[in-house]
Amino acid sequence: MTPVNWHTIVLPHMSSALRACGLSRDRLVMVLTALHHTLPEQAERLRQTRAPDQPDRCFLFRLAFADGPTWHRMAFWVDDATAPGLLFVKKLVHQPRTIP
Amino acid sequence: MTGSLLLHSRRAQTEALSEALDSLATADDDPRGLSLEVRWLMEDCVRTSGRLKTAFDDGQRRWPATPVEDIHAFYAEFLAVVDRQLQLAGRVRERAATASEAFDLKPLDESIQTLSTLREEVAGLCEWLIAPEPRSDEPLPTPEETRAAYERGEYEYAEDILNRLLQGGPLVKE
Repeated sequence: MTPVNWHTIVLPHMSSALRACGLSRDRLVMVLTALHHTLPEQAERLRQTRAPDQPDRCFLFRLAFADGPTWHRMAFWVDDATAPGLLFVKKLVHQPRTIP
Repeated sequence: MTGSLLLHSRRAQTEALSEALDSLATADDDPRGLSLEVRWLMEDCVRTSGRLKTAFDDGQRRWPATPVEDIHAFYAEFLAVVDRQLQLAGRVRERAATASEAFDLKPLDESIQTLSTLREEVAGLCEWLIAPEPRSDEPLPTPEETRAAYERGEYEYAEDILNRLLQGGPLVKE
């Protein structure tokens, strides 16, 4: 079977949601790099973690990283069922945690 | 972050100290040499405890954006190293407490306390990393809405946003 060449699509409200997280510019670049590279590259593995509220359409792409004294955990709802080869990033839940 | 290097070296050190302690079991015919070895083992345990704490404190600030499953796997292994070191430090303490020489156990006790606190911190981070997402009332766009936005061209490739950011532009297209 030929592997799917996935591409990440970001809906407009998601860019605003990302901006609301208050990350530094280099961390935003890091997150976008993960969305552009890591998500498509590891899609076959990541797609196994289906979103509990829309398991037939979405999987969860969960990232974590540190920014200064804070851990950030981001869960992206990614729709892999609307169009072949496209991964639509539809929803973001952001959780910060202070590093003791 | 060079996670595997850190795990391999810390694990190797703990295992080596454990072997050194085991080798003392039959060394009762050389009390002076035994005392020296126990003292060195205590010092090594104190140092190792500090190194594990430093590795955790510095290391967790250096993670780039990484899938949580991978970070969790790393800290689960790190936790196993901390557990093994805690077990070893307890054994060394027991050996020192029953030796003929009266050792100052305070530094070792403090390092065991440091390890116990570190264990709690690592376990807490592991739990947080894989905790279920909190309930969110934010609605998910329906498949029809997603398809319609796509057909209207109301979307961006992640690559385009990334390139805009790298060129000094804004996150949200103006």
